[in-house]
Amino acid sequence: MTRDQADLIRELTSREATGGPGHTEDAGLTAAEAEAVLNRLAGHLVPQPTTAETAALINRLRPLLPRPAARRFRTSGLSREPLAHFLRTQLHHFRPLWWLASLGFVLLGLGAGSFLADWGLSPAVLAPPLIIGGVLYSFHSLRGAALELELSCPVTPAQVALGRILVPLLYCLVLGALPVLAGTITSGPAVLVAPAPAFLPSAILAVRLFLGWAAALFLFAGLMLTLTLHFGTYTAAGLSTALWAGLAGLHRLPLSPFSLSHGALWTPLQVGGLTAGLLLLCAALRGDRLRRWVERRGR
Amino acid sequence: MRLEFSDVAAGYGAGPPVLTGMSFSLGPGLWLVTGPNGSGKTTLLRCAAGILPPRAGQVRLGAVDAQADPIAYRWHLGYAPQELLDLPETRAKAYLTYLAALKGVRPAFRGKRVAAVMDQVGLSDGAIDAYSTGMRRRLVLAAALLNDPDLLLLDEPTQDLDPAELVQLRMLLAELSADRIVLVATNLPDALSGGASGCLQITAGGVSWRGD
Amino acid sequence: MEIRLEGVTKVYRGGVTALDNLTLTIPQGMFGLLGPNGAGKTTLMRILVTLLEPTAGRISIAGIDRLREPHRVRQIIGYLPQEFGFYRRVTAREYLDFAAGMKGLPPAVRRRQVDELLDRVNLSREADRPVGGFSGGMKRRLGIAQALLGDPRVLIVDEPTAGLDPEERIRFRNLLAELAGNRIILLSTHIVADVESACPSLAVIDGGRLRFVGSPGELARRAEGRVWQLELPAADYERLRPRLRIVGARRTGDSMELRVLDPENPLGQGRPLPPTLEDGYLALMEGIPA
Repeated sequence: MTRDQADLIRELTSREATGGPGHTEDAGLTAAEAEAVLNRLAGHLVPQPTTAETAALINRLRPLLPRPAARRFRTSGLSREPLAHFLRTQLHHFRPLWWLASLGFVLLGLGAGSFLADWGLSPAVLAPPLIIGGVLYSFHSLRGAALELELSCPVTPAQVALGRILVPLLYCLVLGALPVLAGTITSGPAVLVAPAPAFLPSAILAVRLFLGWAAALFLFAGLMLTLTLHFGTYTAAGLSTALWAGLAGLHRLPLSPFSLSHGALWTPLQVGGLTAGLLLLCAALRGDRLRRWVERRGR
Repeated sequence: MRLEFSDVAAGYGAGPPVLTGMSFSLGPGLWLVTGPNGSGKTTLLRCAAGILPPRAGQVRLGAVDAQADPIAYRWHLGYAPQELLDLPETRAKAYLTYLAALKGVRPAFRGKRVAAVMDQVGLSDGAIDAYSTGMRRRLVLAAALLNDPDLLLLDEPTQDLDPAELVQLRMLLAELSADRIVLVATNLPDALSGGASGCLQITAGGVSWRGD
Repeated sequence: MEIRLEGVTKVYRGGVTALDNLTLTIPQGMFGLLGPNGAGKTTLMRILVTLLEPTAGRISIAGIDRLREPHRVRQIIGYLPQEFGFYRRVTAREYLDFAAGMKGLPPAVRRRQVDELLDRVNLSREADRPVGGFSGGMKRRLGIAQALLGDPRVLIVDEPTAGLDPEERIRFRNLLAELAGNRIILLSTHIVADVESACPSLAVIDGGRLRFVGSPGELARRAEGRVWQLELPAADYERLRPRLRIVGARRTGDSMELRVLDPENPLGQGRPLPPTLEDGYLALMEGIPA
């Protein structure tokens, strides 16, 4: 017998000696009776509640419980981390068709590569229409309700604009590998046969091709972004395309960015174009410029 | 948490001021913004959403200033615009998932949150450009609710709703306004006044009356 | 003068039944047409103004057989649709002149009517300003002026006050009321308040079928004895919400003050309220027994 049980028996067998109104004298149990009761209690199995019974009990109790914390989602569901996957979310805007169409455009352009060379045009001439199309596609849906909804998110207008241009910019940059590849491959089997130092010219060729591509790309990206934020997507596309056509038409001039001939000034020119493009991009994303874009679009 | 406008002036571009000397302080509850068309209801909401920077004065939610700390300000904010024409041509669920990501909803919670919010406003998934106006209204309302905001700004949510849809909106607003600041610009104040804590009437750029 | 519809049915290609055996008589004066989105209101209006042909049924408008003499119907009907485009640069006067020409009004009559109508809708001062700068209310008034060219006996107006602010709405309703004197004005709208104040009689259409015809008072009375005010603590509200037909709610502290539709006193705790037109409409649509 445990200590508790002993105490319990003592309690059960003691005679109540309390006074007060309504008092009835407790008929205490004898020690033997108490022990028998306790043994029976110990042997009595308490039935385990079924799932249904527990559920029923919880349902009965639920209204009595304090209301669950109303804003639980906010405390656990929102992340305050910087928008690391911001770029990934921007991919939402680009349908498979656009990726394929851009790729197709470059392949087509390279397929016509011999024509380009005949006209004295470098493959970099393909870059501007690619980025013009990309920015047009990316920004044309960024107006009205769609723009307002995005601007009311915890992102700055600069992030919105940057996000929209980064995807086409990076993709078009990557696509620039194709003309580089094509250019180095068409340099011919001589590359494969020649000893190592002979690779250098092809490496230089690759760098040149890529530089030309990147310069044209960034220049027109900066231009498109600036014009888009000032005048709207279609006007920007029109103006940029006109400029591209003009420059392509002038490719016979040695200083044209799309010219095949590589004079002494070619590299500085390309680097200049690249820098100009980057500067245009940065300038376009400045707060006060964007403010005007937002206000105008918000109207 | 209170929304405070202190002597706010706002306008578009180089144009004339639409709001001047706008000052008020609102706590949780349902607040209607009424006034003649063109008086600045949408402008007020845009300022409160941090979308339109004011030319003068301050907009604050709690301790956060909309201009000084725009990202923090919009963290607990939801905005449903009046214009519904230029919505993207994707499917509703995909678009809401995208917006949820922009609003900072964690990836693990996104799907569930979008489903919950669509359920709350009674919207089924579909192609947005096939949506009726009423469904577009619900879509932007859903977008505003994604991050469970403290400040909910709704621009003309009553427009184009039939009486049954209006009832649903009323109930939703009553539930939401318990512990949130819900600011609703509407041309049908009578439709919502039953559940409103008060009404801001805008005339000539200033708040002329606030009733309880 | 009346519009009589008998068994009017419209089934679109693809099998969608927009109107189902609609029989209705629309008397002179303002007549309201209420119903949810997609109920068939716009289809009905398009059929009346001869933009659409019904699949079956008979229609007579002011004594003219709509199906056999649509050209005569067009001469006496004016239509103000909900979506109404204008060229932005055109002035109000030029626009009306153009519309009058389209309606076949001879030049002599045209000028006079345009002036009169601009005056009627209070746009005389802005008559020579480009429409692009007009406010929503002004555009609506211009739309009404256009619909009134040729002095039609019948006016069909679709959601005319959507997007108007309360003041503009009142002014517009007054304008319509003025015009209703010796015309039939069919006013299709979501906004119950518009019908309540302006229309002596109305019809409710749902799913292409006629659900009610009568006066606003009669529709409101449909909910007589079925509107209750109920106060519930917030927690109970959560539980009971799906079981109550709530048409209005207000949060007061930690409890919810509800407006409920119920044939009997909900939970035995409701306080009876006098029914509004909206209550009547909702009771009808929810199938609450009269």
